[in-house]
Amino acid sequence: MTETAEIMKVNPDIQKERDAATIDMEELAVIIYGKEQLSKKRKLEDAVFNDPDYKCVPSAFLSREEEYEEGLRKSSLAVLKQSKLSDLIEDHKDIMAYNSVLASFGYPSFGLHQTMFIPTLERQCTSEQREKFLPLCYDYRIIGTYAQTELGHGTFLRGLETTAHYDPNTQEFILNSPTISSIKWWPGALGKTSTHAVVLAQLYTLGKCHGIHPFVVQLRSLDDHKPLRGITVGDIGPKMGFGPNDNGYLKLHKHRIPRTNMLMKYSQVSPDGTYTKPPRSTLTYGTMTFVRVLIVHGSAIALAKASTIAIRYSAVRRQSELRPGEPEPQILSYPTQQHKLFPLLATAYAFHFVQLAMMKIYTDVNDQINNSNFSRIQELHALSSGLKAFTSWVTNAGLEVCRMSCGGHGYSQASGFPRLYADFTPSCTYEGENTVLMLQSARYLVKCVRDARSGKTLPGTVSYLSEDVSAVHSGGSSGRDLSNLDFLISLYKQRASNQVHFASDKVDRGISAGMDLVGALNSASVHLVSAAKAHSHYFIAKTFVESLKLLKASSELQNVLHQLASVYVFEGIAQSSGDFIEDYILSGSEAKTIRQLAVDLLPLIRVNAVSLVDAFSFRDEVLQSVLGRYDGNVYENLFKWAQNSPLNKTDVSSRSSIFVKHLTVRCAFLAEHNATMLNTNII
Amino acid sequence: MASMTTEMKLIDMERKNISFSVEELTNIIDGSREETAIRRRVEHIIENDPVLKHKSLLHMSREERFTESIRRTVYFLKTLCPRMGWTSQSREARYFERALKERSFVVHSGAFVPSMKSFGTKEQAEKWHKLAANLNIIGTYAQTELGHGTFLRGLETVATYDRATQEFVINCPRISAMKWWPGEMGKSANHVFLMAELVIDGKKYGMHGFMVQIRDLTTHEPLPGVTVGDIGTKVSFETVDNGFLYLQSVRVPRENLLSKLAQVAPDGTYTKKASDRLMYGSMVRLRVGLLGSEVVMPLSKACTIAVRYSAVRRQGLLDPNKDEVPVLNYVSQQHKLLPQVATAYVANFASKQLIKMYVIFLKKVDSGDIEQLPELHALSAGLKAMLTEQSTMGAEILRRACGGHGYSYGSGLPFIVNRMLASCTYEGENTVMYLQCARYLMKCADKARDKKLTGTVAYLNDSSSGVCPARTSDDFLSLNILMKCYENRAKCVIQQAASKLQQKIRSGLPMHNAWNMVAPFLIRAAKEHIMQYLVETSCKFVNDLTCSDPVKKILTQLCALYALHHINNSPGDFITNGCLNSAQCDIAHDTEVYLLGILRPDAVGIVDAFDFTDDILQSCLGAYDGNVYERLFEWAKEAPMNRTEVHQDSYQLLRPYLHKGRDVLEGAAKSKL
Repeated sequence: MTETAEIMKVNPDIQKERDAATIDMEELAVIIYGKEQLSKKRKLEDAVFNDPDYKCVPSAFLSREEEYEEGLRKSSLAVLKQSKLSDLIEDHKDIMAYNSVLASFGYPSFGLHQTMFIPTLERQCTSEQREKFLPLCYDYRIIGTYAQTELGHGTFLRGLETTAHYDPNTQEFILNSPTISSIKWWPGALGKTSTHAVVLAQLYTLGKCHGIHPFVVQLRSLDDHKPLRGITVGDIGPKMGFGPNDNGYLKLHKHRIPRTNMLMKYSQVSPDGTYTKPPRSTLTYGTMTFVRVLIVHGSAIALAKASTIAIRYSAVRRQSELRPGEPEPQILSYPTQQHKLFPLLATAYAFHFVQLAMMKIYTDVNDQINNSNFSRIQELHALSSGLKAFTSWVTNAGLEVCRMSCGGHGYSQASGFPRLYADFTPSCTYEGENTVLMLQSARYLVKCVRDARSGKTLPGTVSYLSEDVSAVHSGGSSGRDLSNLDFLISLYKQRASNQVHFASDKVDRGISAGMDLVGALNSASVHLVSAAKAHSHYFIAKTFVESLKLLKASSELQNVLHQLASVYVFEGIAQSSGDFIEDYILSGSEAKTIRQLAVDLLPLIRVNAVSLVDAFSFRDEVLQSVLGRYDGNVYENLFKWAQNSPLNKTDVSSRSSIFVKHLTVRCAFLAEHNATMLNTNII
Repeated sequence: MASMTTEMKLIDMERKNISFSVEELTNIIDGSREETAIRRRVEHIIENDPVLKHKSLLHMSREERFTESIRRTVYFLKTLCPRMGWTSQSREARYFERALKERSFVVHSGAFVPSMKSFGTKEQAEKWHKLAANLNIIGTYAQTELGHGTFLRGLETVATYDRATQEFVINCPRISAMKWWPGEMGKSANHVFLMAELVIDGKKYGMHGFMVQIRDLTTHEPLPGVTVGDIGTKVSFETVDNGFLYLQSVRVPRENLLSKLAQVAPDGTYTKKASDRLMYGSMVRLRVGLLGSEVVMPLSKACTIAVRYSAVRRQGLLDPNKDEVPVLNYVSQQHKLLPQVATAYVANFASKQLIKMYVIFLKKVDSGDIEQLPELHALSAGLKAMLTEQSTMGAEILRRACGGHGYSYGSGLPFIVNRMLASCTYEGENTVMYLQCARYLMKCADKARDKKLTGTVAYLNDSSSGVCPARTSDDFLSLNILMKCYENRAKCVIQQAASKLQQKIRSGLPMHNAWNMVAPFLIRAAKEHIMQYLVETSCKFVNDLTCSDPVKKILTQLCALYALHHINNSPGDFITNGCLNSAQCDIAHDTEVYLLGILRPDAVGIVDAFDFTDDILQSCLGAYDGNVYERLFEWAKEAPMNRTEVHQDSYQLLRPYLHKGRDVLEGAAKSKL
């Protein structure tokens, strides 16, 4: 190829977009990350991506085993590297930041060791246990994971079947997987890497079951890494994503561990087998809530990445003829393409501000808990459950929209979408399956409606449920300013309130018709999910609009962010107009007007679209997408990328060509057969 | 696996409570009892053939699957078919794809070979078609380029006529002109049917098809001037070597221009011979064929897996005093699964009707009548977009409805979903498809004012009231009422889009500009038209069906569920256009939930009727006997990662650290003793 010179330049189409922008991309980047964090992030990225030791062929061309090995190689390397970067890495937070950069290569091998195993030990160990286990963990002298999910049981914790029977004679617990469905299944790094695990099991002592408790179990010999007696452990096989991770299975057969391996900060079993229960059962919800907050953040990032790829590619991809005789336009100029991408770009920004707000609420509530004030635990749990489900659903669907907006090339691994999607989509099912979480959130909302009726005051995010909103607005009255975001947010509130009350009435009617609460909830569950969605949607729209008001930014940037918020709010109504119209919150013609307002904004957003994604500041190494490259040189690099394919190692694919040659010489009748195959299939 | 596990007992119980004859429903899906028998025989022979057996597809690497598929395809065509007396003309042929699960040379036979006849003169067809048919050459259809897809005229590859040597000189002038994506082009094909811009004496004549040899017939090495290879990994299609092809001054003889539609004389004189419109015919055919194999079948598989698994997966308590219940008992789960099952049935019936239309059309074409082509083109484009979109989304909903296990390859669902994903962008990107459909609708909306329309758009003439008479749930179970609802909405939305377009044109905008500005509304118009077609076609199919009462009841309920589900997904559209009021929407919601409960006891029977063998499903979760957990465990143990207890290469990286851990922990244990 003769075009190496061109590769160095930035694609003129994308450069034009950047030149025409009216906002300062750097100003926005600082708003998103904070000044210090942004500079730290860039330094850490330099440290990782400029380091030749981390270089490797694209993961799309590695076999599963190679991916696993490569992942472990990089993760082990990172441990050494971190210790040498003392000026850059000062505390645990910096290590996590470094690891999140590392995660661009694939989920780090010691990810669960750091985010689940160690934190669980830190939270649930007695002081002696801390002294024994934690130093070993910090230096990777043991590597652990967190084994909760079983083949037959997931989100419903009480259904777990693994047992731990206490034997007072030897002062040991005997761990057992009594059935096939009780085999631990899915924990990351369990298959081949981990030497230890925190295993959750039903505790039995003195003939009585005390429910689920955590135990530290050694799985493999620290000598030769072979599984210990009574332990069957292995990899669960290939999944859609997370190739480098050896998600594993674990079958325990009468496996004995010392009594002191039960994590005993909150509940204890004494040497004689006496059980002491924890002071408060809700305390254990803390970790889960935190993980859900992280998933909301993860949704924001995934959607930001997808928007970046799709919008940059749309700026350089040209297609079809808009005006006869003129050159093919950039696909970013088509309203249909803008209508696919810009609402999602706005959503990425919305989720960003929501995760900030959510993190703040989490910190506040946590501080209250530390001061023995437990009043907002349920509210936080319901809010984080609803937002986790809402944002991961929207993002999951949004990633697909972005992928398809890139046409056929989006389907190639080179686009980065397949991996982005495959690694993101389990967010919808792990850490609480989304529908279950929506129902939990709804259940709390229903309870709030009852509390409100009996005169109780409702806390923060649900207080609106006690307002009488039905009288405030009714669709179609003249003179309503449909472009006023505060006004529209009040409509979101009204919709959420109506949906929650509607679902709550359904439950009540079920009960008056003789159902028990559980039955009534199940039969109303479709409406309950809608109610929880409407609640989350209201929270997000409101948070987005309110966050912008508090922002210190140049007036042009304010202006552009306001456009984004408007598209988010308008499109949200347009896409679920039924909810608004059915309840007379909007008239049909008002809904049409709002739909049109959203379409009218698209060309305005177009002006800054590329800068709005540039501000997310994803380096090419982080995006891992040929289509999303900063320089826009897509085609040359697609070609370069493809040459890595193992099928291209030789010009003749040796084994298959034997078949091909064999065929071309001899098979006489078969193409005849094939040729008409399609026709016969049809007829 | 001797004794029945709890899961096996659960699915057994489900089957005991089915209210209708599963076999009868299977016969309806297949077309007749006889067809079912033929299909089962083909499946039985292929599944039990020792040479066609393979290890789990789910554990193979891409290269293994690529080679393995060629091995199986050669054996199947060369040895098994002659032995069985099967030919392309046999009734068995339509089940080969399903039973084989995956096979090679699909583009060769489906696109390359037919294009010889569509584009070649009689002599050319004879020469190339025979070679291709004998597999003495293997070819592919090279149209899409790195920088250009659905928009044909944008292609950049050029074929310049050189009068001196009577050859065409073929060039990719820049990198975006490189051919990219054609299936089987990377490593298998030695010829391509190449679409390129014809240039004679500096004048451009548009896209033409050329036969180009790209590899040496003896060594299979690429010819001089040819850079060819595999484009790398994709979401799916592991067995296909989608390729790139970069041509630099590659010369082909004048006779290699396929000259049915146009020809170039030795002196360079260009003559047009027939209308390009005929090319649309082949696109319609591809889309019609696609719906069955790439939409209906995979969605039906995904439904089978998710429903069966939901019948045996227990999770949480409905009654605090009883055991955990199958997730299928949760209304929220039914609400995820059953609408997709309904979609699979509706898509099945609709694609059957489309095939009927196409067959009638083909007969008319023989007598030179292509009047129906625009309607068929619009309908097939719209249906392709709508059904690929709904099914892909549906399959993904089903995958996630299986919780974490749906994410494992062992569920079989990732393979199904990943493959379907491509269908939304290949053979015409969906947005473009909707817009093509809308173009036809806008013409019809214009005509509807003073002319009588026929066929799939006849309803645009109807001037009866748009108000829906439904007052109760029973009313909403009536297929006639539901059909009318969709008809009314489609009519409104199409007329609105047409008047928006007219407004823009009247305000002085040129047509192409006006068209672009109202595109989001045009897409809606196309979507509502297609929804109307789907609801009407499937409801009529079921109404006209001769079958037992219980089966009729189930199918009627599935049609109603499909229609209601989509009303409830976007009630706004129905209310805005005055087709339904708020109270009616509320009833429609309740009716859908009611239907879920009614269909629940038959859910397993309804998916059993798709009649997939375990071998075809390739899913630990969807196996007929419900024994999901043992299967998953057995499957995982086969993973290459588990060949040894200790993964040595990676363990070497950890050993130094872990030995320190040993010294501390085991040292401590020893000192305790």
